[in-house]
Amino acid sequence: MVPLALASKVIKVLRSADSPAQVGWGFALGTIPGLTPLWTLHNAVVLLAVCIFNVNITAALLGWGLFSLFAWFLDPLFDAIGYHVLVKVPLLQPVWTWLYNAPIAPLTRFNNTVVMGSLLVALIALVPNYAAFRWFVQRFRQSWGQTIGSWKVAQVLRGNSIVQLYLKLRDFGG
Amino acid sequence: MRWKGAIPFVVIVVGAGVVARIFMNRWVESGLEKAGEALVGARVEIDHLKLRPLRLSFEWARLQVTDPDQTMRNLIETGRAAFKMNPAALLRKRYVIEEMALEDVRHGTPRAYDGALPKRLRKPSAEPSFIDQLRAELRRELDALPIPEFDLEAISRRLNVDSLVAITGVQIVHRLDSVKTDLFATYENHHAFMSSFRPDEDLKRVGAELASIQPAQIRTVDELMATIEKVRNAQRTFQALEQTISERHRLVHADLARVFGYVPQVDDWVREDYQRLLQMAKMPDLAKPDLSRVLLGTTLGRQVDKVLGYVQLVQGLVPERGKREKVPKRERRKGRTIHYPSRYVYPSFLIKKMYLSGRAGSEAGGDLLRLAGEAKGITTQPWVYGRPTEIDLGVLQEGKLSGTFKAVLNHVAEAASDSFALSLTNKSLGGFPLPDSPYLPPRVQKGKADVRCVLQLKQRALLASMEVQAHDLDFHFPEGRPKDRFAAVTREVMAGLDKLKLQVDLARNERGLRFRVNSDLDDLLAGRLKSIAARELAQAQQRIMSTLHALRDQKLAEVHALQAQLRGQVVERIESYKQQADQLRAQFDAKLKELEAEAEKRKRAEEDKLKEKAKKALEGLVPKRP
Repeated sequence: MVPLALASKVIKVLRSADSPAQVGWGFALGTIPGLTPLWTLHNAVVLLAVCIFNVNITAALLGWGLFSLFAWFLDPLFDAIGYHVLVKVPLLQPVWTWLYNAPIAPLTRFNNTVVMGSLLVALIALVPNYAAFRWFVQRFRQSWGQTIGSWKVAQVLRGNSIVQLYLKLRDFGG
Repeated sequence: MRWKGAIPFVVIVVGAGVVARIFMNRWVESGLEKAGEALVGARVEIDHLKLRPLRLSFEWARLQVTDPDQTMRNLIETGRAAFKMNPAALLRKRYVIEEMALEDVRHGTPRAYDGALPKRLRKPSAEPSFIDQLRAELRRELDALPIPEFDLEAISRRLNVDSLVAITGVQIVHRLDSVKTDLFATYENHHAFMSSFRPDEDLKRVGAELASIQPAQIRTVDELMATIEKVRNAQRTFQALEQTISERHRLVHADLARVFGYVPQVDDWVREDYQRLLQMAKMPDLAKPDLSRVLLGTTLGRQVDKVLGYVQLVQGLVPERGKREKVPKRERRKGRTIHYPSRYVYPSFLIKKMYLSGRAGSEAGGDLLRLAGEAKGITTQPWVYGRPTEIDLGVLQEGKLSGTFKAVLNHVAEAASDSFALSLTNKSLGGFPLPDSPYLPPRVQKGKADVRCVLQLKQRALLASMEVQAHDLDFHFPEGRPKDRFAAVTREVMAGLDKLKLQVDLARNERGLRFRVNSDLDDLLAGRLKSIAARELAQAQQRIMSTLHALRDQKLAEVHALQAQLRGQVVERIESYKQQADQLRAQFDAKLKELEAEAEKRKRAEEDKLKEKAKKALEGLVPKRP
């Protein structure tokens, strides 16, 4: 039932009352903990941002889950980028040395190649992710939603007794 | 903005904090145990660890570190320990403990269950360290030590010279047999020649013929000239014969020089055999016995090996700068941690000062041993801390034993340099087990020792020495008579021994390993052994020499017989031929001179006659002058 639940969540997000921008930012912020190692200090900041900014939290969870999968495959790339930035760029060495000796900063694990590489990729991809997901939500609401709803597969699925039962159970008790 | 959203964030953070608080003790305990196990290679257990995050303090009730070599014993067991973390360092992710105290430190305590790690958790065997290689070399050296055997009866048995000669086959016999073979072959060679070569008759005949030629009786000059020519032809034939005789004469004398030249070497051969037989009989060298090494080397070497194991363990507590990874290994989703120059003397882990105290034995039993001291600068990054790790411990047993242990592990520079010094005064030797040997008592009954042990290690070189000065000694000997005379000697010597000095040296450098044991026991035993065994050994040596002389004389008689045969049948005859040939040559020379003189005389007479004749003929033809 997990795929169905996920599909249901996605569709709920796409059809929610939140604006495409809120959904897009939620998704984009969720990609940061998705791509970077979870137990890091910057993810606490991301969590705080998701909580206090008016963004779609479900979209954030969706972004986190989806990009966690990508992160596994992109790990060597993150390591290479992180190593390059931390070691191979002389210009940045004083910055890293200063951070290394500053309080708190070492707790962020900035000097870890995967943390640095994945965070950089996540930050660079933040705005494109936001833009892409916002565009996707807009398109879905405008035309793709109806088209997908008219697909035979969607109709069959909707008519399926198991799906009906699942939806009843899901909506049981409000 | 939705400020209400901060509530779930706070809830999450507080929830995470509560969960962490509940499980933190167990997590930290488990983490520390695993780190310790990775270091030691056996179970490390911490009991009742308490973490107080607000005060940044830790506390545990008991720590057990299993001895990796004896997993039913603890290498170290401590009682309560408490320490505080440095907050400024912690904010920089460095774990710095300014001071901590380890109480009730004990060594060798029994474990309730086996502390061996399951196979899957054991460290994969890394490249052997210098100390690993050194210990392996030392074990090989100990295995190669000779098995102590001083059984004079066994030596006497081995000194059954006849069987020894039969087993080993002395060289004098083989060598004199070779001389005989050579002599016989020489004789055969010359004898065969002489059998077919009989020039004496010819020489006599030629001599007689020469003597019969009387130049004055030869009537004409022509006949005289013909005789000269005939003698010269005979001389040429004789010269060929003389050459054969001379060549044979030379060969015979050359062979004589060779086969008779062996004889002066015979005594050297006997001496060589004598030395070899002494070695074969394994007669002890009483001048320089090295008995301590043979008797005590294995036991002392094992103690040194054990000490090296502890040194290796202590050394492993402080990483070496030269061995750290220049580029850390990459692990998926874990990445690599890059380190930068540190402006603070905060290594990633540091215990600035650790007070240690412990005890062993019991006050009631009168063997209470107190231990106290401190360790400074225990760190995972000595090159960041910039100071060596120092351990300074003292032990005291009221009115009995006192001692110190000092270690300096200088891993600040690329080339690590470690030094260890142990000093014990009045160490009780009562009950100290001695190696299982028929020549030593099983243990020391009572006695005390002052021990000084120094070990220095720098890169791939080690220098260690241990000096033991034992006093008030009394050894426990088993009931009954000693096994043999040497055992009796050792018993006698050790029973009268009150003091003993022992020095063990171990050195390892690029030239290899050197393991030496010196003791005044060597001189004491050697002195006694000499007085007891000297007469027996002298007799045995005399027996060896007599046997060799008998063998030599027997073989030499055979050689002399062959020499006589050679002289009689070859040398004398060739000398006779040579003499005859020399005489005949002289006779030829004389006869030819005589003949040539006669020919010259007759030639002049003929010339005078012709001159006279010519003068007379010319007198009628030439007119006389007025």
